[in-house]
Amino acid sequence: MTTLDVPVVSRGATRKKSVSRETLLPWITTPLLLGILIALWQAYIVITDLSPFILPRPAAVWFAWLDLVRSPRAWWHTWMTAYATLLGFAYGLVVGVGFGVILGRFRWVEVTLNPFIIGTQVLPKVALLPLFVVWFGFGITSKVLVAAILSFFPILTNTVLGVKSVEAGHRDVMTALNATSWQIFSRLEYPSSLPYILTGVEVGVVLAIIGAIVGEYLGGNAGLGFMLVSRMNNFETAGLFAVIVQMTLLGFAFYFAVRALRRFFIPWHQSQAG
Amino acid sequence: MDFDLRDLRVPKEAVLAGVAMTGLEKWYDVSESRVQALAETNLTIEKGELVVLLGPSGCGKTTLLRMIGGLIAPTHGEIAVGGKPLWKGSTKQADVLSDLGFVFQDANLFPWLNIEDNIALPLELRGVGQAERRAKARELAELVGIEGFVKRWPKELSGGMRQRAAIARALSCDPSILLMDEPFGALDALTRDTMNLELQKIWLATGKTIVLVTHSISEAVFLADRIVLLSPRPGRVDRIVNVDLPRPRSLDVQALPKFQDIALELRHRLGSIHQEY
Repeated sequence: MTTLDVPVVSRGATRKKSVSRETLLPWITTPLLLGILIALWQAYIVITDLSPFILPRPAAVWFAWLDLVRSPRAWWHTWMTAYATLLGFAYGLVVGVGFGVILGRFRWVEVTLNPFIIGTQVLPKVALLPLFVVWFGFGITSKVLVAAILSFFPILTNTVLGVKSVEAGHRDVMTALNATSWQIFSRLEYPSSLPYILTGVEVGVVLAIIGAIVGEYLGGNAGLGFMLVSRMNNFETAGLFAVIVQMTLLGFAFYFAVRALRRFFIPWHQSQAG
Repeated sequence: MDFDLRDLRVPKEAVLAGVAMTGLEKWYDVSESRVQALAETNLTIEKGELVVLLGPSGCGKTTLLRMIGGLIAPTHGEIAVGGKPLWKGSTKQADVLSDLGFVFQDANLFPWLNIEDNIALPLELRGVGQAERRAKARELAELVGIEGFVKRWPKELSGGMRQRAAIARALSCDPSILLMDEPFGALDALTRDTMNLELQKIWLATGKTIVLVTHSISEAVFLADRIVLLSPRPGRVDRIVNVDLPRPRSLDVQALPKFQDIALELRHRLGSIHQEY
């Protein structure tokens, strides 16, 4: 048996080594590629003598972003966008998972509602925004609504898929144990659908940010979207870039939060290797 | 004990704790026509017996087992477990069902529960407290030989280990009857031999009634007190073969003339069933 054990152990060791090399690589390549990109950007401006109104120098963007970070007002705008995103996303999540479970469980509900679901899915949701402004004014409600509607659909479709993908063998186990409807949901359908739901969440949270920002374009005087439009109106191109950087950082924050949720909720899933 | 329960005039105790099937039939609706999956079947499985349902695919052996386990409803006839009917009208009787443990061909462990929680799932559904669940899960893990793995995820275990956990799960509510649907069919031959020995050990230790479905002749002869041979189209009992080899049986039992006689008889019968259909 020892002769059999040895190669197995050594193979495991090499795999571990290559995995750690794989996790290390982006930490070197990412700053490198970013550096090259910024150098190309700078070189393009120097060679073509481009106006800073069209494309500001990387350094100008950097200083504009530093200004933004130092301004409490900008942080308040960032928070407003984050708040509209989170609130809208929370609504989208609760309603999306709720409807998803019902649609996934009851075939006749799905068949009945399917034309409406497809209809609302192909409808460009941002087109509803002026209507929301008419109904709810320029306050935060219209932004929250757009964020909610945009994040609702990927969460809904993934939840339906998740509930439908529950393994027949797992259902048999619960049937043989005479489990109640609630037990089947809470002990089987919910945990089994979680990887799917979290995939929906990953897409949904990004769409919620888009919803909130587009909402801020159209009306009101708060949020990163509003900041962006006012910078544009003042021809502050460097400032425009700074706001885009800030939005990207906000996006990253949400993305990493969802990644952490994955690790916390589904450590058993194959997407959590190692 | 010198006497066999089956020799008693009134096997009251046996009937009370075994499985009795009377006039059992199963029909399926397949695109506007009805297909008979199981023709009228009468079969009694006595307390503490290890009965193997053997037959080619399509003989209704799994259908029969799933009906005993309450997973599918019979079209006609009755199933009584321990003298009590499994179905009253179209409702399954919870107290009858709780006396049955089911083991499937796939272990069907929940990947989001560790081995301990998987084993204790039936207890959790009944509202048993955590301390008691843990104690019972550890005890059963020891019985099936996976005591060192209770904190692992199912994906970290081999196929044989997972099936051991599935058996422990089926035993966790202490049912008197264990139903097993080709439980070792997905395992390699060596693991399968080990699992057969283990199952015999568990059966001797616990005194459960076991009904096991297989299409392996040697597995059937090795494990069974009685083999119920089924034939297909429609599924029905072809014959019942008693296996009176001494217990506990080791793998060497396969070399005995009696073992080979029974295996040969079954093989011939299965061969002619295969030609007939």
